[in-house]
Amino acid sequence: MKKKHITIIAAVLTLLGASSCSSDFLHVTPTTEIPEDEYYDDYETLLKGLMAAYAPLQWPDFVFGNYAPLQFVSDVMSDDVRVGGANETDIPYLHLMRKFSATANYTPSTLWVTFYSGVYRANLVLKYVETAGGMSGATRSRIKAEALTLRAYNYFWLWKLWGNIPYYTQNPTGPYIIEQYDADRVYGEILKDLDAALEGSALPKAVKASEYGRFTRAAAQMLRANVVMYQGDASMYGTVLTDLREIISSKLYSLRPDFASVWTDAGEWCTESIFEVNYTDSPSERTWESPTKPGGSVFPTLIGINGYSGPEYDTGGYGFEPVEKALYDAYESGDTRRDASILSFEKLRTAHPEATYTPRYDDTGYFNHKYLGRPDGHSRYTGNAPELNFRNNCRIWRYSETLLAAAELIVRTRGPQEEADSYLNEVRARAFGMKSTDSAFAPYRRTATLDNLLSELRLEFALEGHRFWDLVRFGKAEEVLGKRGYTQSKKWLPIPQSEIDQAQGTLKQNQY
Amino acid sequence: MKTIIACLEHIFRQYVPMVLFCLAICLPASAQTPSDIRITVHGKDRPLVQILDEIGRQSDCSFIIRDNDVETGTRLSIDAENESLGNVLEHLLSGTGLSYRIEGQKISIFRPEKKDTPSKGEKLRGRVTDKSGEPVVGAVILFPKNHSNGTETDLDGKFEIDVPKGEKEFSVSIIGYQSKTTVIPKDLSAALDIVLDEDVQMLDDVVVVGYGVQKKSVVTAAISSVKGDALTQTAGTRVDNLLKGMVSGVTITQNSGQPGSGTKVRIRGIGTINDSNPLYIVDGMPVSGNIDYLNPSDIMSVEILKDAASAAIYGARGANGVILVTTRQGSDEKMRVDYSFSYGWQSPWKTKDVLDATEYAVLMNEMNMNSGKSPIYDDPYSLGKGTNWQKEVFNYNAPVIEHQASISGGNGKMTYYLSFGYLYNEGIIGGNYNRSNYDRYSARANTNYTFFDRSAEKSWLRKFTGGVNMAYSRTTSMSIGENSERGSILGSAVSMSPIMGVYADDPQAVLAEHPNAVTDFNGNVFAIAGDDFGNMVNPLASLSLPGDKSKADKLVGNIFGEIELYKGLKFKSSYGVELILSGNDGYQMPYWLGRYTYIDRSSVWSSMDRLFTWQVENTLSYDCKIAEKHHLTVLLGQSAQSSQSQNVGGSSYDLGNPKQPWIDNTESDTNSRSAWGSLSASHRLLSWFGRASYNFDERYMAELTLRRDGSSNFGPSHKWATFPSVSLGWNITNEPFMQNRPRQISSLKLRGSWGLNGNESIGSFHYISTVTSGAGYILGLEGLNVLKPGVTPVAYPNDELKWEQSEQYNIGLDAAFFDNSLTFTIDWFNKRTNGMLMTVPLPQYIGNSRPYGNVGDMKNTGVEMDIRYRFTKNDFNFEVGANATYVKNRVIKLGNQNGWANYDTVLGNIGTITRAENGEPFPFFYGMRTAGIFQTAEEVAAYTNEEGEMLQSSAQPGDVRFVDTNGDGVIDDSDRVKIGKGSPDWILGFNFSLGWKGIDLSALFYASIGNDIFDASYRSDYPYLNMPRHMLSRWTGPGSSDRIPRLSRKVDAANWQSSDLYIHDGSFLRLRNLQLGYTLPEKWMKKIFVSRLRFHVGVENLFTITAYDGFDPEIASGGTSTGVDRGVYPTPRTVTVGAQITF
Repeated sequence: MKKKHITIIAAVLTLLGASSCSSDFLHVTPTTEIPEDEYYDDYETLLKGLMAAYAPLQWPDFVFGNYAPLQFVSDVMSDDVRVGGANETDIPYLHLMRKFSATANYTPSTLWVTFYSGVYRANLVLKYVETAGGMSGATRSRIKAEALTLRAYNYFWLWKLWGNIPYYTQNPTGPYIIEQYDADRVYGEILKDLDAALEGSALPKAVKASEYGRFTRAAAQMLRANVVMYQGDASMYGTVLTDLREIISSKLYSLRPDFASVWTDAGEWCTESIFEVNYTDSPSERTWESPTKPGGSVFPTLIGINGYSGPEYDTGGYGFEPVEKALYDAYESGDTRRDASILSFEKLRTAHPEATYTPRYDDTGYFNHKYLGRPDGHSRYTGNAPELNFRNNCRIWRYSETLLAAAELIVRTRGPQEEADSYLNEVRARAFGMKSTDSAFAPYRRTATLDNLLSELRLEFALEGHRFWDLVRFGKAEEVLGKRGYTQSKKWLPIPQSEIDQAQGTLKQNQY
Repeated sequence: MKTIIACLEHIFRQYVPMVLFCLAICLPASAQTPSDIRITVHGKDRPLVQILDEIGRQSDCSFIIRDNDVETGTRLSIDAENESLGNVLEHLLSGTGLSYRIEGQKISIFRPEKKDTPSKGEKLRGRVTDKSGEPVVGAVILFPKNHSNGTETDLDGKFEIDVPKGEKEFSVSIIGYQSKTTVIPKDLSAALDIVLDEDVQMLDDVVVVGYGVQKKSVVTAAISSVKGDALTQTAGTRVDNLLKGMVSGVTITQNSGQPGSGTKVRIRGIGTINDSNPLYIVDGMPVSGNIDYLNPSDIMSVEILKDAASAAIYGARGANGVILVTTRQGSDEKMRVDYSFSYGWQSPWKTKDVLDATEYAVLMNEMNMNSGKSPIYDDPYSLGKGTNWQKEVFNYNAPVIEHQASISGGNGKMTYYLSFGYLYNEGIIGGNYNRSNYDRYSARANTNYTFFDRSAEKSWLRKFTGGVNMAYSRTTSMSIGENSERGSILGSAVSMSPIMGVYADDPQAVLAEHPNAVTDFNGNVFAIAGDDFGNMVNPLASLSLPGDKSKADKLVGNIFGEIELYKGLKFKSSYGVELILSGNDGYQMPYWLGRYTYIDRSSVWSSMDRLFTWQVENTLSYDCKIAEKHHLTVLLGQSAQSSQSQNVGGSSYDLGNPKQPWIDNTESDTNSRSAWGSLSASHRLLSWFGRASYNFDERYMAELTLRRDGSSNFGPSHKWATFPSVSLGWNITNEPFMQNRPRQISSLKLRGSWGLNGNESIGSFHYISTVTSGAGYILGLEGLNVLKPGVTPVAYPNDELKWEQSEQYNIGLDAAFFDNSLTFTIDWFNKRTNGMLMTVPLPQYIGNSRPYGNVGDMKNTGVEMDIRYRFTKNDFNFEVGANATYVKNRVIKLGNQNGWANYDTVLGNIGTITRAENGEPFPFFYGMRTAGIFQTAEEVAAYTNEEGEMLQSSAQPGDVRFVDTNGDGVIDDSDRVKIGKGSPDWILGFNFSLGWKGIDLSALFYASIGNDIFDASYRSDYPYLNMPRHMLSRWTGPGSSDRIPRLSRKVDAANWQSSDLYIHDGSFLRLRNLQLGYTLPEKWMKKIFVSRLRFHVGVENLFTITAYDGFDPEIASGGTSTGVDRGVYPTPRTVTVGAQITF
């Protein structure tokens, strides 16, 4: 009997223990998930990290439920456009920004998140770039320089929009509170990254066609010029002028003779293009539900002509960004940039009397022609969000900006005036469909002065989101925009309220 | 692991001697039924001893005969051929006045004792039987004044007793029957016939607890129990919804009236910001999600474990309470066949008052004029009533059909319960368009086997039983979007212009402009609402589009075996699985409903999900009585569980033929097809648990529970956690000093418990940073673009993540009066959840999704009461019950610096409407406080701060006056405060049933008190939308209104921002169910071999008393908070007729 007891107890114990013999049972291996610290260990994976860092570049037009294309967000603060849409509550923060009465709750907060996502992802690449194996030193330093440029680019926008921002170069750990730098200090940090990126020849002077979209040395140099010139840091003018001259003398870039063709498919990554954000309708994974996925752009839909019926343009459109007539009128006759940049509906109707549209709020009859959707502009997209998938790339730096920036810096540093004039007139000559050496161009020739340059910038980069920033850095913003409410304190937008709230008292709101 | 085994071994070393000790002194279990041993014995006038000797040899039993009881030399006759031992003995001893008792291998023969009573009165004789005429053995006969005098009924149910002097009545009582008091007749010559009614409550006197059952009288935890019969009394399709109003402590809110729509079940308040759904255990198997797959008539009982002590045995998952469902099993009776059928007609019970065409035109004109524009409609009064969109949309008399059939029985070696159910439910919105429909097929097979039962003859390895419970269900549902301000069907119906017709006035023109305009099946073109209506579209056109079909096949089963190793020592092992195969299929043809709602290209999609869970559990339990008064039950167990899900799906464009909407039938090239698939990591739980329950003489009870759980959801250092609980109980009425208590008090029990529970439902791998693809970027030249894959971390990790813990105290009192006819239970609880798992509310500048952390604390305190009274007299019975629950929920700590977080938002001008904040209920409605309407410009000017600055300088007469709640002299967003809350203070249930002869009538009321509703169903940002009728009382001039502002075309965000103007009292009282039934007399039925036939007619939601003017005050969908009305799908009123038949 006793033996039997023991047998039974032993059996029970075995059964109790049998089904779960080890706490290995609780150690589950991820199926789809891969731990970060095991992942970025070679060239392939590091490159994927880098691509993820590029990805937020195309987010601004629509992400996290908000439309915030950088051109539009910038231009609503200028004298060139209105907001449009259905009414004053359609994208309310844009209407408020135009009146310089943005609030902490009505501020382009999705851009805030977008640019910090870019910072985070760039930091991640920089964290693993030294340890990942399987690549040459040159490849490693190229990836590192690209990540530094990306970080600088994201901070550049945050700095322009909000000025005094939390700044970090290593992704935070608990308690995740980051020090807020004042705008000047942020400027210094951005410059540091760009200096590092441009040191030596880490970034290629040119990339092959299949890599269009990755930073080149010229792109980083343009960014540095933008940063320095927006800060008005005279001590750096020499450096960035050298950068610009390097770009010019490289002969890698030239203006495309036909200005209008810059804005077609063929104009993308043409000889004039230094950097663009790629948007495409094929391949595209972008849908309304997954707007952070790569694909096309919604900007053409946003500015599209509402209820348009007629030739040449895509039918749909939400009627945002009506262009001010004043901008249209600012062009001299013969300037091909006017009609390439702005569509006058009246003029269209003279050619196509059957064309009609339904005006929306604050309509002017003038439309942003540079980014208007063309009839087959998203034809290759096969998903359920064609209006979100136009293939118009977003032009970031064109060679004409190199020329005008160089001219401006020469003027500001009292350099050789002829050189400045030649750059300015190279841009102008193209605008009139000529060469600067043509005798017919003589009446259009201008001297490079700050005033001339400012108005040239307006005409050359109309609707590309330059005007407001140029007015600010030329000190003309109050003069031009004062009657709409601009004051010195409107240079920086209010920081999103949720960020102020979550930062546990460490984030100081801008005086707006 | 090794240490755990070592620990167990240690326990066993300690435990085994104790077991042996217990066994040695344990009394035999209560009287045995005659065992199955077959005996053949013949003989006429043989000596009793000789006969017994022969029986003894055949049965391997020995006889004990008390000399005094049996005269030596008694001779008897017997003639038994292969009969059971019991039968043989009964025959043998009949007429001798002798009785027998089988105790293991020993049979004692004795003469039943008769108590010596002072024979001062006369002898009272009688026979006690149950309703079917079977004798009731062992019933106690007592006289009220003289408790020491009494007797018990014998094997034939007979009794004989001397009546003490002065006694006028006597009582008959026995467990399982209702006690009966009878007046002693004057004439005692005739024997009395006393018929006892079965006491349903007493029969149900066991309560299912985790891993076992407990006698209700010794339960020390807070457990509510609902019997299956009570559930099937009311019509209804979902078990969770049926529980509503039945028990205290549980708040059940139906998401909506859509067929198959879920419910929000909260036990003792909202326990956590995370998943606060209770754990559902069906026949020991945890089921994922909910229990909508169950056929309500398969349920034998539902137990709700409310306090920490009862839920602690489920440790890691018990924090939000546990709902234990026990399904029906067959019994050792003859075969029983049940079939029931019901048919119901559902209709909306309320429409929302909106403007008719004339009123709409008047208000639109006024709005335009107020905005400085010309009126739109020349002659509003010529427009009449216009289209009643709600009437067009509602599907009146939508059917709900139910069939249930079951067959059950057993034969001593096995029992079976097999059932089949079918339900079809058509929605009152879109059901007639096949857009809101639900059907469910369910089948169940529960079988139990007794492999061997030698408990009569052996001490070791006495009994081996086992069983299989298998349930299969298939549900198919079509559902429309509900409770959304983005153009849900009903939301659109109340917003469409009543001037617009259902169909287009000029179909050709509409088709010319929008070739994809929607037509009905007769080809009529639906009218298209203009751009001014935003997301709101013609609801009938919307309903005419094909829907998305969800299908789910669910298989839940478990198989178990139980061995009784020694008397009271049982080992049980079970293996359970849950397999859910679900998926969605749908397609879209190009359509145009409006500027924001259109599709240019046809598409079709299909997806399949597979979730598989297995669970293995082993328990060892020991139950013994020591020296009669010490009762000890010990349970030790182990559980391991693993689940994994997998999904695959695809979609394609350019569907050729919409009648065959499958991906294979699309014309688009393979490049435009997409496919996806993934396999989740396993979610695993490993647990050890133990419970010891002890009671002394059913007077003092104590119970200790300990569970140690490991979860794969946590990092290596925090996988394991221990959850203890302790509970104590005191049956006051079992105290000797209470013997002479007033008769009215039947029982009193005081209970108290404390315990810790856990919650781990946060998903896997939050403790490490993992990466995800899909973050690619496009490189290259247009036309030659390549999508370069990008990979980035999903979110910030937190390797310190650990269990969410909830600590709960409970004090309860159970009381019963008047022979248990009045029962009363009250419980007070205090439950605090510490370290709530939530994403740490960090600034978004960290650049990626926020990490999870144990950052929040929440507290729920409350009181629950249940009261029930039963009354039976002759053919009449009556029962009335009521329950009340009060819960006070508070967020103690949200874990962030500012102490608040915003939750739900509403599109348009409203913005944030709910918020959580330290010290407040989770969540509450949030917005501005208003103080009427500015009647004049002077009032606007006079509304100033201390410095004399106007607070609302841009306001006009007719605009809303907002309150500067923070007193900073400015009215802005920082003045928003708590303006209401969606959760109720009190939940009340009230039910009664009465029966008379064959007629039964029952009613169930449900009330919710103290909850508010945020009525977000009116989108003020689209000024052309139709409005609620109360807008007629808008401000039109000084003195016209002090609540509703002036109409204005100019979208004035201020007037309609989130404020108390949206808040309505959502309290309601609802007659959930009223049912009248008639059971045909048994004697008629027996002739046609039917044992029971009942017809019934009932109404659900016959009336609802509420001040809320929307469709339904009961709203659980639509956000974090309950009570957000974005155009809810209301619960219908249903009239049901049906029949139940039993063979």
